[in-house]
Amino acid sequence: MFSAVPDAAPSVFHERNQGTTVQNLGLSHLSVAVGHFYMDELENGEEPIRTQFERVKPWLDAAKASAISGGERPRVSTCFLVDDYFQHWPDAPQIMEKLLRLSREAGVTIDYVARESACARRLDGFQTAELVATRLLEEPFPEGANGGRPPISMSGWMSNGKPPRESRVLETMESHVWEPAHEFGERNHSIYLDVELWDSQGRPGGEDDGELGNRRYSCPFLAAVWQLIRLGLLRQDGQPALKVTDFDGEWRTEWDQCPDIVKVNPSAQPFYAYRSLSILPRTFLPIEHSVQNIINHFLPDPAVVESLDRQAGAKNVPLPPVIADRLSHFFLAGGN
Amino acid sequence: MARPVGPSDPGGQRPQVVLGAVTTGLLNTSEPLPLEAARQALALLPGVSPDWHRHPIEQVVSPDIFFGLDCRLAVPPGAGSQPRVIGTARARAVLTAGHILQGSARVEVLLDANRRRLPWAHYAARTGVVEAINRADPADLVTGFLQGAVNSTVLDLGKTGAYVMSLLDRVPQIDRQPRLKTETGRLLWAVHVQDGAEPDSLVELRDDGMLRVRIGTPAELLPQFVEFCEILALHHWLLSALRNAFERSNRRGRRPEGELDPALSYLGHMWNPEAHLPHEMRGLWQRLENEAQLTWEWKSTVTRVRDKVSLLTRKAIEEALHKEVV
Repeated sequence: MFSAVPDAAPSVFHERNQGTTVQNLGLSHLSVAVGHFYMDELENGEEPIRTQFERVKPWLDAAKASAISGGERPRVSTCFLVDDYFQHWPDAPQIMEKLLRLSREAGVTIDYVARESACARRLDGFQTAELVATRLLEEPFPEGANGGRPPISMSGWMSNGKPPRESRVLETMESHVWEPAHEFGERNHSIYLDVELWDSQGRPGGEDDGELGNRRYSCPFLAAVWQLIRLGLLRQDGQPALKVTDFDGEWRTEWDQCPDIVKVNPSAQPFYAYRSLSILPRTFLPIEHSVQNIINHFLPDPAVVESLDRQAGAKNVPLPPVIADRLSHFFLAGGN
Repeated sequence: MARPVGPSDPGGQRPQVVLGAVTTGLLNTSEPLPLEAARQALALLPGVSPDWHRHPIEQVVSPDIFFGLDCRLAVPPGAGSQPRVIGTARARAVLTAGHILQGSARVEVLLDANRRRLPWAHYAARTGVVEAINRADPADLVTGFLQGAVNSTVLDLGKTGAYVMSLLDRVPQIDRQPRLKTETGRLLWAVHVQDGAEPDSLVELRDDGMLRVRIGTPAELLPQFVEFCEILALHHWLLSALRNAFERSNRRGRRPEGELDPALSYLGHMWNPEAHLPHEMRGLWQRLENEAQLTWEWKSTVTRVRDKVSLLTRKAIEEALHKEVV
């Protein structure tokens, strides 16, 4: 039946307007985030910054030596995310000079610098965060979703299960019923997590521009966007959602005039990578746990997944299908 | 014009059964959407543009969106318990000639997978796939699904397609003032994936008005088969919509032109089942035509509608002349 093609001649008319063609990216094997500071830490003394970079150094070396590369010479790039979303002063040149000098002195080369604000909204106004928000799928209740449930979370929260419940059943009995929280994908016992993705306090530093523009994204949400950006999984019309700009030799005074991602090391390996490692102070552990929860509910564009799989396959680079498996972390000890 | 359906499971497992539903209706608007507006309207996800065709009939296909599932699959009576499945369904909107909207949903079913529900990341990495955690016979799943009896516990892909269609309601160009009354068309399809086997198929129409298509086919032809079902659903809906408008125009107390004018201007130019029919499906369509003669029925219905419009016009002219003579 299927072979019964009436006319075997090749077709003469071809109209294929594929809406989006996914671009193959230049990819490193590993993207390493070399530390993180809150903005007030960057504003203040140099010593804590120097100490953190010194602690990052041996683990960065270890990461370079152990990058999974499928037999190719490992390509590793480093990046640093500047926390300019929740608070910032017009002092980008001073901060950047200090940051790059102290990291260099500690033997940590930063290849790329990105702005956290760009994970919410790009310099050109494009809402980067929406690319993630609209692809988050709430986890279905056990035997409670048969196809009609709206796919997108509108509540601004993302959980991995069912919250605990406490309710008074009958007023007269004055008895309480309590049901424990339940992780849907638990193994024997639950670790229930519910993460706030955004609130409606208004975009920091922004004028009111509608419901989306009014969202103030949470730190874990922006960190999840940042991980997906590094892994090449966030695209706009097939192109990376945040693009890399070469450093033009000068930092703008205002953070929100600086490019989204700046290449500060001209000889760096590609920014985007098959896998990521984040070397962070221990205090970021709950944030990264939340990042994993968000990413576990993120459904990537199948065409993007296919493009990365094809590139990895061609070079025998092992690439896990579960996105969270592409992430790794090292948490630096706290205290001094 | 399907986006490629890649290998569904990176672990190498292939689905044994694929289930789908196509819901068809008139876009809730008085005039068709121009191509440019349609492309904007069907960009259901930011960052991804819809696919589209201009010739021979305009068509825009949205990117796939995904729905979380944890429910039961129907099986025929006596076939044991209903297997529980977990994962995601995919659905897309298809807009043809700026005016006929379809919600097309499907899910690939992996049998003999894991025996318990796994962390969600496992399912998020296998979009459009559900895994059955109980044993099931593929033939039972096909038969059970095509019965079309749904409740709140078994898979309801018709609802998924209807939800995708409803996303278009919020598009600004849509004025919610269609001039033609139509019913929603429903089609269910089920594939028993059989690599290397001779494909065989059956198209069935029962008295509930729902089309059912059953096919055994190799996995490579799935995207083409989905398009076949969307085309069949569209044309079956066209035929029903035109016939219903004609019947309404014969009813006492109706202004016949109030039914016939929008029917002709909305639907008259639409029939072209082979326009986007994949090459591999032409043989199947031809066999269907030989038996059901859908194109003949369409032509004859259009002729009846046009004849009636001509007669009404002649009558109106005669009445006008008569008035002048008097």
